[in-house]
Amino acid sequence: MNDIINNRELLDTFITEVIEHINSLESNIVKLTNNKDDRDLINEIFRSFHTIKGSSHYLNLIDLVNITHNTENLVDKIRRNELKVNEKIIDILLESLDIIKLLIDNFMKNKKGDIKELDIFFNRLKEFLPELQLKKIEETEKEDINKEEKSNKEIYIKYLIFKLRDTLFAVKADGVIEIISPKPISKLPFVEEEIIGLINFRGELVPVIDLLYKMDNLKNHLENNKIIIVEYNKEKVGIIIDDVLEIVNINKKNIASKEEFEINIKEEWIEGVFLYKESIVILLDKKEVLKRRIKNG
Amino acid sequence: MLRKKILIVDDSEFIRKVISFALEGKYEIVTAENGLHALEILYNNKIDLIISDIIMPVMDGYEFVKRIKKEDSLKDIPVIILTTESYKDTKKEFKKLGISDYIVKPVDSDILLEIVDKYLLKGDKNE
Repeated sequence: MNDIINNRELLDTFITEVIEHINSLESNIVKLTNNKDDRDLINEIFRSFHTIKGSSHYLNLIDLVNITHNTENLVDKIRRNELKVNEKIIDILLESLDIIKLLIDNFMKNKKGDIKELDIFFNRLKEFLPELQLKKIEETEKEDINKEEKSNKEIYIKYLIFKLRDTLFAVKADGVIEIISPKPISKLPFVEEEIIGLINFRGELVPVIDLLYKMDNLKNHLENNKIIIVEYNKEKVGIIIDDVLEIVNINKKNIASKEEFEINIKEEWIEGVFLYKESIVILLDKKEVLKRRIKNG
Repeated sequence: MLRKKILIVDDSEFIRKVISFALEGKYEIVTAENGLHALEILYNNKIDLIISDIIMPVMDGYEFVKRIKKEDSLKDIPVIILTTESYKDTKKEFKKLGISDYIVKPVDSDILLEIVDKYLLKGDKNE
């Protein structure tokens, strides 16, 4: 990547583009003060931080990568409705922008050295983003993703086991996005029986289903339940559960076919069954559970 | 011999230039700043390989790849996703759409060229 830093044209493009994004961030963050729920505005702010991050990475400007990466994550939380825009958040965004300007300025002037504002900023950011990530160099995550190819061939698969009315179920853990407490569920008439209703999850309407809808009606006593949000191919579904028990590694060869057991749920939802602490666990076929659901938008 | 044509889709001009810079010695480069612009180019040009970002305004990489894979005339063009997204789930989603490769930015120009060569130098052999 040294060839980039020595290429005048590329450097000029980098600087011009970053300055454009800084300017657009400046006006968009101010606009946000009066339009705290404007999705387009939030998305645009997200993309600006994201683009600066991507480009800075090419030039190995680690401070710039760290600040834009974490600010992007903060904005992502807003996008996903996990955080609401308020004065404090707007201050943080403006502060981030100021430091980005300072870093770019130093880069243009070829000034090296640490910026003390960075640590203060990251400490403040932690209040909203406890999962703050500071990278030293970019290699680790790329290695992870390359390793993944190999691990896919491993026979052990991680499953999340959960309980619903004395029945144990499992789904592949990597498709589980989040476990949430019940949110207001909008009841829906005229849809498939298993759908209890819709919830608003990160700004998306997600159907919530009751796996055991055939057994009795859950619709009226949901207070003690939780919902796990599962995703496959961008389709999301919420599954009503009583509790999560554990995440386990199951060897593929220990999964039996469903024909060997009688189970009182929609047959096409079942991928197989396995034994867990002497109980039978029903392994859900994510693809099938997520099929033919209401589309968003 | 006619040089093979690569379409680079990224909303950042800097990234488009960096990638072009890495590949233009060997291939002809066309660029687009979002998925919609890229589709227009694809309808009017013969493209041999696509390198696309994910997060872009107007039409993002996910929607873009989904559209390509639905079109008989486009679905066989190899697609390389070049992104800063290192989430495994994102990679899986794209793999399911039938992309050829998923590379996390920044990538060294030699390595990128090597990957591109893998798809473009193998002649008309498939997968």
